Amino acid sequence: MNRTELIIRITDASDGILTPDELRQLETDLQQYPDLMSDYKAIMKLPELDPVYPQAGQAHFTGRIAAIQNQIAAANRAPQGEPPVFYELSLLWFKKYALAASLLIVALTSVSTWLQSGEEYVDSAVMMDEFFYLADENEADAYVMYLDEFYF
Amino acid sequence: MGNTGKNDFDKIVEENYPRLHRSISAYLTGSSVDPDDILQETFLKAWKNIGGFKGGSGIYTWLYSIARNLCIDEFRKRKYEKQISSKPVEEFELAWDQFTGQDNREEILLLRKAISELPELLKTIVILKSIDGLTYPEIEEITGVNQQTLKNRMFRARKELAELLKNMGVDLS
Repeated sequence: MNRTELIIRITDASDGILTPDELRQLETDLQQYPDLMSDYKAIMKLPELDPVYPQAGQAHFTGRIAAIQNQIAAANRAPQGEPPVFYELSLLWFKKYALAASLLIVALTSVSTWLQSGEEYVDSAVMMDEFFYLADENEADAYVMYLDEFYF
Repeated sequence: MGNTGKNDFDKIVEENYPRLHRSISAYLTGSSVDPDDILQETFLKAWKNIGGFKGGSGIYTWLYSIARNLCIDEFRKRKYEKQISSKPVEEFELAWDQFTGQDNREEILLLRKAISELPELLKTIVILKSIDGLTYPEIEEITGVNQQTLKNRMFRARKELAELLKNMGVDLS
């Protein structure tokens, strides 16, 4: 047995769970470790600790137990606090649902764009160009005329 | 335990208060923290959190864990409290003590002082095992320390206790 195993056995011995044979074996094994043997002897001489702290009589607790039970009863009866005012509620809801709402908006926008674009082929770059640079019929004519003049 | 009613909890208080009181008194001996205050807070906290009690561990070990954490919080708040080793043994007397004789009184008070001087981790194990009579698996539930380590610490605790008593002049022969 190594030191760690012997220490565990010493604890078992002081807990009173070893048989007389096991105790004898432990003492034999401890011969190889004089320091552990010395600890073992000191530990086995320790008095019982159970009587060191006597149990107080039941009467000692009656008032205390009743006080705790009353406090719990009072805590149960107490109103659960004032209802939250509007701004508290808004903040709470915002924190709670802001992310969900943002994700929902992004999802709905994407879905609606996808549905619209599914109807016919749309070149989104051209669409955006047309949106920002509105076509001017007159300028288009002048441009065509200019090209005609230039090449022909 | 999720739907424990007020009456059920009243019963839990009645059944566990005396045993918990003894154990926490042992844990707090030598300090100025009142075990009754700790227990009051323990049961109120337990009532508020009873829904979180899974029932896997025993109710006593669950209550003890709450009480021990409250004691540790209280020790942290009072970290400048006088060292236990410098306190006279009379301060280790309990209100409900009934000694059979003067020799018996002195030995018990010295033993209490020695237990109080143990480091917190060792003191908890000694109290739970030797005074409260819990098993190592139950102590494991409270401390979260595995049984082999607990037995190792128990050895260290008893060794230190023997040395402390020897230094106090207690004859262990």
